[in-house]
Amino acid sequence: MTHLTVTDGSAEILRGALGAGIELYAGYPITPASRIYEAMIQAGVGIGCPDEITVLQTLIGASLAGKKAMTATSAPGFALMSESVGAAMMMEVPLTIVLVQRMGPSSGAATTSAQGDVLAPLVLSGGYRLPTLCPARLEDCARLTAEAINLAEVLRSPVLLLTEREMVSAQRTLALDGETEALLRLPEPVERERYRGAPDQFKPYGNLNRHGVPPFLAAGNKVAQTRFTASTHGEGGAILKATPEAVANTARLQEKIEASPERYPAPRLDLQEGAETLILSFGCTDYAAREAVTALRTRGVRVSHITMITLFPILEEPIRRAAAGVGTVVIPEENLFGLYRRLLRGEGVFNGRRVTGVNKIGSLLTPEEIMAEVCA
Amino acid sequence: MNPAESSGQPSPAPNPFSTGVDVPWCNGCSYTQLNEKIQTVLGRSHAPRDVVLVSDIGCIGIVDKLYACDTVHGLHGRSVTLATGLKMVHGNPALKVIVFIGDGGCSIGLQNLIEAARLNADLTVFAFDNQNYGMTGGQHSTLTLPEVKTVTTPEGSSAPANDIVRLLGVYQGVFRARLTAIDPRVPEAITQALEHKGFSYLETLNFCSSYVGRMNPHLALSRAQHFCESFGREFGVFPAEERTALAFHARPVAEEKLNLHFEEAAFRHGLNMPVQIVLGGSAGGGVQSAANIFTQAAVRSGLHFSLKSDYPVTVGKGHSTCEIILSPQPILFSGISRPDLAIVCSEDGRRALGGLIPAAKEVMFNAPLAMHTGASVDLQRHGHRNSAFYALAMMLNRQGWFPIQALRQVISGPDNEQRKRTLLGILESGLDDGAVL
Repeated sequence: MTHLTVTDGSAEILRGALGAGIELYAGYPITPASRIYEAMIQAGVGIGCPDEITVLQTLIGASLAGKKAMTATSAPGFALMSESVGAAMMMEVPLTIVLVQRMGPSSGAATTSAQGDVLAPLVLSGGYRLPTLCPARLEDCARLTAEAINLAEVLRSPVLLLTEREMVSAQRTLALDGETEALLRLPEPVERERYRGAPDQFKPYGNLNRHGVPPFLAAGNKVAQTRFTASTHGEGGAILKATPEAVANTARLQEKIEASPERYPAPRLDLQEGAETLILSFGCTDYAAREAVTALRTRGVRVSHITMITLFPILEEPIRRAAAGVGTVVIPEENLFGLYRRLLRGEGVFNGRRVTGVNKIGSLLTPEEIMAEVCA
Repeated sequence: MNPAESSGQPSPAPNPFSTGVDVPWCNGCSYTQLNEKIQTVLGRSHAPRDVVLVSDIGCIGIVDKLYACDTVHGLHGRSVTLATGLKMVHGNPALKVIVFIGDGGCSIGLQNLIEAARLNADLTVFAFDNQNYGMTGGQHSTLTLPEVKTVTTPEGSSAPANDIVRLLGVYQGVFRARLTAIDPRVPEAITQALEHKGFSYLETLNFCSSYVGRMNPHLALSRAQHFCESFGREFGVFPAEERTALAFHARPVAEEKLNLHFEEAAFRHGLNMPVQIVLGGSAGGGVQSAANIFTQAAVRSGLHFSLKSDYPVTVGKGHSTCEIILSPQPILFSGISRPDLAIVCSEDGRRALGGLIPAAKEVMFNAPLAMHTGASVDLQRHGHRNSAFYALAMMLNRQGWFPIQALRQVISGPDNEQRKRTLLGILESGLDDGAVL
């Protein structure tokens, strides 16, 4: 007999967060992220704040005390958080933000799913790109939440989990089988690297490990004086103007994120020999893409499929490999402008291949719409 | 300092909180003396490893480099909240967290300040009110008094100034003080503020020597208290009875919360392909609870499902709809464009389902609704609240997607204690006489 369970993205994000050892969730109500907030409070790891700026600042403070911190929001809340996200990146503060997409701009349609915030990870001045994971099915939600929290710790950086209203609110069944079990299994919790050297050798933004990340001492530690600053600084954490040391430290903030692509969850590949088209999808749209792939192959259309689980940094190599040999790349996105498509094209990932989009807002992209574009 | 110390005695040991770095503030600015007073008190009462300084933005924000304790220099106005997050979860409950903020930070961060006081965060906030934004050229803040001229209020202001000391008086347990920078009571007030368990706020008034002083030559700090009091701004020290300060520690996680629980199906379903159902009703019509019971019963019969709900943000009025897919196989795409069945319980439901109704292969609607297609049934027979459940149970009985017994089992479970008798009664009342009218 089949063994089934019922869950949704909100519950799975909670499970992943608890598994990763989250110690403080700060929240502010916003559709469609409110159920995550409520679940975190019920689990005894959450508090409420009077606005999203307060949320992020509380989390930064908690993370500076050495605690694992996270929140969930939607685009209007993320807009309020964005200055603090930049501060967290600059201070090298681990924290995790779940960004649940709803239809915008502005207040938009709070209960309509969308993929309009694909460029939100690029919100910071200077064009820094926040590491961003994106569950493509319900089975991904818990694991990727835990991965995001682990990455935040390892990188000492804010990390985004980008998802959609559809993912966090639709209830679905999951069946116990080998593949599902593997996807549902949570990674081991990871802690940020603590400084273990001699107290007099400690530098708040120095002694970099091999990934370019400075070992951490909490604010209020007993070992050595530490400094955190959101202003431009060097190893010592004191404010500096654009000295060579300060410029190098500022560049390192992105370099440490890009340095080791292998540490990010790899795309899922479903490649077909001799495929003429590659479908690249992410998030909830992947469900429709998977149905489209099956239906197209039944009709004799040769098509490959790549599902991006990590959106940023852009994992160029696996995309290039998946696209090798195809004539056309089709990228379905629930936004009007093909946000990820334009970005990938701008980066030259597809090397001159024809790249088309399937785009709309207001309702889910259907398998038929994706099939029509592949066959166009 | 007594006269003996200043003549011929060895100079006192350097203050452990001081890095000895040159002070950054303008000549004539009171910040230098105020900061010395704070460091002197701290040096007597605390060790640097037991103190964290969180500094805001602006002239006072650059104080961090003068301090030999741990320091955090963050965003404008948010220092108090960052400090709250740090202190509330910190592993060392004895840690003293102090905040340095200016009148600009108090303006942009008013919400942050008030929230920290409301929560009684265990912080000592030193607010340096120099009556303007000195670092950006002398613009007015919301603490700038109406009579004080600045580059952005050259004639003064017609609006009153924020009085943070008064605002914070709303909250019990908050220590408050306001003194001029030259008031001899300042050192004692610093000591009291640091000793207070919970939120303490010490505001010192001085006039920015570079901007406010120049634009308002008649102002003198020696007469400032009198001047301010003429605007109703109280000076003094206002101690408070302590109340429990904010602390937060995450509850340990029970291991079973980390695993999903899979259950073996207790019943056998009768589906060999997916069924798509849309259900439309009104708030209070039990649409969501009916869909939940229905899908839980489907799972007990070994069926996969996806369930999506929609209702207005004001949940107590208007439509309430559900989209349900039942399937013997895992479901991928959960959208429905051509439902196998549309159940329409009310006019709200009809409007919300819209084009899905004519697209449906089969429609069941509540008798009073005028519809072009489908079967009209008295869905209100067991009352408005039970109409959706009645409709689903009737269709289940007719179609045999899964056993009615599975529905009965869910209803008898702990989640439905209050409505159990009513719902079981509906199942007993005979579902096939639901009678297409």
